[in-house]
Amino acid sequence: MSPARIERRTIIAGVLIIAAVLVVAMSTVIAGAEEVPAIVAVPVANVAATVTTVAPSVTATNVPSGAGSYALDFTLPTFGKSGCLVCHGDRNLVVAKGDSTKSFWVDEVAYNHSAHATVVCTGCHIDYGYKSPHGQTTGDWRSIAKQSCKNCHPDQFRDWSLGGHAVTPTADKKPDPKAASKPLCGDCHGGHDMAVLKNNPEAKRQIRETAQQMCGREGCHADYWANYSDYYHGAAYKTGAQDAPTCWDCHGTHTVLKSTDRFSPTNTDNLGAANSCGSPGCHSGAGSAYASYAPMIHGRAKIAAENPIARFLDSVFKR
Amino acid sequence: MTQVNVWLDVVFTAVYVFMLVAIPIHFLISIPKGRFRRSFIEGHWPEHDEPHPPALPKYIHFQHLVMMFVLGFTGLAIRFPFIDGGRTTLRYIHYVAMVVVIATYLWRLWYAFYSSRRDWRAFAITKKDALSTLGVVAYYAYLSNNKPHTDKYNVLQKGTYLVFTLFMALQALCGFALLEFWTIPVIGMTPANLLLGWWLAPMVGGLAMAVAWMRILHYVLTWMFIIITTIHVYLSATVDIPVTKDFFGFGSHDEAEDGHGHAAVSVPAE
Repeated sequence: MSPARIERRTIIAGVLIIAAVLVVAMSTVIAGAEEVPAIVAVPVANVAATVTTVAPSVTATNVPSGAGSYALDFTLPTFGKSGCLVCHGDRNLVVAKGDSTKSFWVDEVAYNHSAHATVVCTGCHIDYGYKSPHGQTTGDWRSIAKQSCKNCHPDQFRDWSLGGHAVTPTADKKPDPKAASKPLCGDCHGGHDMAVLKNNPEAKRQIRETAQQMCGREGCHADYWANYSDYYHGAAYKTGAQDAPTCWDCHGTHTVLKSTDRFSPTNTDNLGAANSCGSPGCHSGAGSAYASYAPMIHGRAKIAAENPIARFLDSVFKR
Repeated sequence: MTQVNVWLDVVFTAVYVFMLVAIPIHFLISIPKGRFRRSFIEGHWPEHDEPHPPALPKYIHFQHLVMMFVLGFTGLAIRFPFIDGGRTTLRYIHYVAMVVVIATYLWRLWYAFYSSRRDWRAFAITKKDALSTLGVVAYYAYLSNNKPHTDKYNVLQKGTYLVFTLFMALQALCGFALLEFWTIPVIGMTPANLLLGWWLAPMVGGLAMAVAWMRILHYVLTWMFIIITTIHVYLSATVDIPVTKDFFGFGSHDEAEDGHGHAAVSVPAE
């Protein structure tokens, strides 16, 4: 082959490679640009502009001080969903909070497919039904939210109020010091996109996979999520085993109790019972002897680290 | 039981790591001892009564090799999960491989005892074999240069193959006993109940506990297979490469020019 021909081929190959790189780079940029984050975080300076992008019949004025950041003059009906969604249906609806912004967007499509599709906004946000504009609400969303769920789900509310997640006064009748960190119904069950679980195996399967987001997130039980790593329970669950237990399979659902509580299914005395390790489909016939395995479930890594041979080998290889 | 699981992990992992270090050292010692030169350079490999391993045992061996690897891999991946969403799939693969291995196992037993080429005597440990044990151990420990030749397989091979055979039966039984949720048709009992419910469960405090101990035994036996197979692979790859290649269809070992070698292998010391 002549040198000129080789040179020509080299040039063509080079051009093709560069073209390929450009196509890949362009498509990456375009794909990135199309992504719209669920929670819009924009600098504080841009908030006013963002909020006023869509508000056909609502006047929004930025009020730097006062009860709320925005004084909204409500003229829209609040009984149905449509009135609220004029503003909250806009995915750019954010409110400045410190150095960042908080999204107040409600995904209408997800809402309409949720368990509460037929519930109007004020069915849960009950204070918005009789107090408007927004600035006149109590702002105590936490207690309002509990009340909202209780109206329709009294049994679940009662169960929850008996467990460790309930806000309870101290023995000397002072407010619960951990009240702020205790979860509300929505913290576990989700908000506007809460799935229908009844006769819905797919939704049940999906909610089983949310243990880390539900229980093991930072500020809740991240430490217990991290040490949930034994062979057939935690390690298997974390790799998506459908038959491995999730947090509430052992710890219970609404009435979650500390394992030191004698009524807790994870109490040492109850581990072998039919509502704990001995649950149908788990370890039928488990007794107290079988429950001796339980410390492994959240303690395998610690137990392994304390093993004399493991410690010896560890010290040898670390030298 | 908590501690037992951790102890098994630690001990077997440590033993295996030790083995992986010891095996290359053992091989390197063969260089100053002259065995490496004699085999790999001069091409003096052990002689055999049969010019080629028969086809059926070769096929069975290959099928065992693949399925035992599948069983070991899936078994360990079930105990130490690292494949996303894979436990159920791994279990099914494990069950299929288990069925194939049991079928192959029974086939090999039929071949050994009832076929026209029945070869069970090749695995039987005779008094002569027993007396050669120290000599064989001394040869592989490099304490002696003479390997006693008594039969097709030496006494350690025979012992290992017999132990392997027993372990396979035991492994199949205790693996079957782990099935707690599947009811055997006609009998109407789970394998766990059938195999453990009447003897081990009352002894250890319930069926769940009995299954847990069976799982531990299953795990121990898995490690035994891993250890034995690793040594088997090492010796196959270093002591008799021609027959190993022949087993996998690469080349064929022919009779040595000087005829069948029933005399003891003697390696001149360096």
